[in-house]
Amino acid sequence: MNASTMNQTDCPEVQVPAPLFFTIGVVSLAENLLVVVAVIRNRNLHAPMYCFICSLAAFNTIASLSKTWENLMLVLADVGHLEKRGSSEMKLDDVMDSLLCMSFVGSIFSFLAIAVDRYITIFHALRYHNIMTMQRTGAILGVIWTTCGVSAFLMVRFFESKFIMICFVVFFVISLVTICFLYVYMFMLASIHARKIAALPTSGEGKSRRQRWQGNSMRGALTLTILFGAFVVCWGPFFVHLIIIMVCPMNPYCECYRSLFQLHVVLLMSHALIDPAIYAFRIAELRRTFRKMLLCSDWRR
Amino acid sequence: MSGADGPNGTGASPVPDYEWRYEYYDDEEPVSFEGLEAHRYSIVIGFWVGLAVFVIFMFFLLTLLTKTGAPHPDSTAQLIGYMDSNLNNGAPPTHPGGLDSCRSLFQRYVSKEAQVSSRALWTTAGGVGGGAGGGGGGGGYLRRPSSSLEVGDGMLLQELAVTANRREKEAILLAHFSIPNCVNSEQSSTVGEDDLLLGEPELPIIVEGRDQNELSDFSYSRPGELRAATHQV
Repeated sequence: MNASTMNQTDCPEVQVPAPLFFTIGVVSLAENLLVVVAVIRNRNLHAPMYCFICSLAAFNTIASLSKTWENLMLVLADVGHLEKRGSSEMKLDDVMDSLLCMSFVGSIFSFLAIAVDRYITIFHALRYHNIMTMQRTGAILGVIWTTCGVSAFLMVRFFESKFIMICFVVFFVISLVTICFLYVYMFMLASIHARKIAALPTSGEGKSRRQRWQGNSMRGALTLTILFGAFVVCWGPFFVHLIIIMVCPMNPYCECYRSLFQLHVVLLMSHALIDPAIYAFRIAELRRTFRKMLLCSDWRR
Repeated sequence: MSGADGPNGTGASPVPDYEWRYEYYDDEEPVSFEGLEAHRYSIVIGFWVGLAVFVIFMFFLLTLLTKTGAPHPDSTAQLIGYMDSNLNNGAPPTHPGGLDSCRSLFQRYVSKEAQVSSRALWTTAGGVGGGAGGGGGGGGYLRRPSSSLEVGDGMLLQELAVTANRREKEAILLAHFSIPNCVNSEQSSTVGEDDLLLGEPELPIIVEGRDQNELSDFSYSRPGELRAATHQV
């Protein structure tokens, strides 16, 4: 006897077409791979700040790769070449899920590391060079990658346990708050400082300097909003999804939210797509390296 | 549908194969959609509206901060006012103490550790302030003078006094706009506020490249820096 009381759900799951997944996956894979290769090949970019950006791009590469691979397998399974519940397919699915988890956790750690690095650059500028040495950067990156590997394994192995998911969500919220605080604090200091400079008494350029300062500050506010807003918009829905799974699995409203799962995963992948634009492509030296690499001219100047 | 035959018969129909898994592709979840008061996508709509409000609120908060940010303590204003007089007039410091008053100001500066050149702010934040891509140059910049500053407060001033190289002084000025002006007033013409505010991305790298011949003047704690700096050209 069937225990279900309804046959048709009012909130059918929203399916995202596979070509969209593939496009986003391939483009973000190419971009992030380019960033990783550029940072590794150009010796001028062997500094802590670029190492963290490179690590972020590496995690995004892994995420795009595993998600694209998973989509490929799903498409093949739908067509009939693969069996959805076969044991080897389940194992492969576990591997891909753990890679995805690893890249999610790693991305968040990398964002944190980049924010802390920028914070130290600004607030402890005189001692930055001694605080953030390359050895320490290497150690931090090693710790991040190890933690991500271990937590990925644990998360996939014990996914049914609620404790793991609670840890994940709490970790996300703490990182979000920390990143927000760091960037807003940095921005406040930058604007205060620029305002003081703009307020210096000079002969004739006071007005134009003030306008330029305001233009710069507006651009700073916009940059920060984009940076933080993209993070929240792309990562938020997925984590609210996790919260809803734990809190109200049976509620019809929650079910309607959960039916948008694939859209939320698309958002997550598109964050890997826009990350290089926000972090990496703003650095002139990196752009120069890209140009040299893509035009295949002699970059070893 | 078997009845309760045996002595330990359950008497109930076999329990359906119900396994709670987080598979959203299954439709066997017994969720009933009857009697919903609000729209069924209300959580979705509420979430996105809340998110949009949050992002817009954050943007307006940031723009408001730029207009009415809280003022810093007076010592900053003093230091910057002092710097400004040197910048604009190109005159030697008018304080009676001369180098000593500069040093005391410098010590206060270092102890606060909250005041850095706005070039560093705009460029090393990698986009905060809109300076597109000065991050690398800014970060590389801060590398150089800080190793000498680590040793003591007076070291930088001494080195600046000793170094006859104009380019080196210029480089230091660009990184720490207020401190070196205590000692070198003739450099004021080379440091314009334009550089400090806009944070041109190319300038640090170009100057670093020019200075690569004079790098031996400074003592470096790590040979890697020297190699990295010489790679600019």
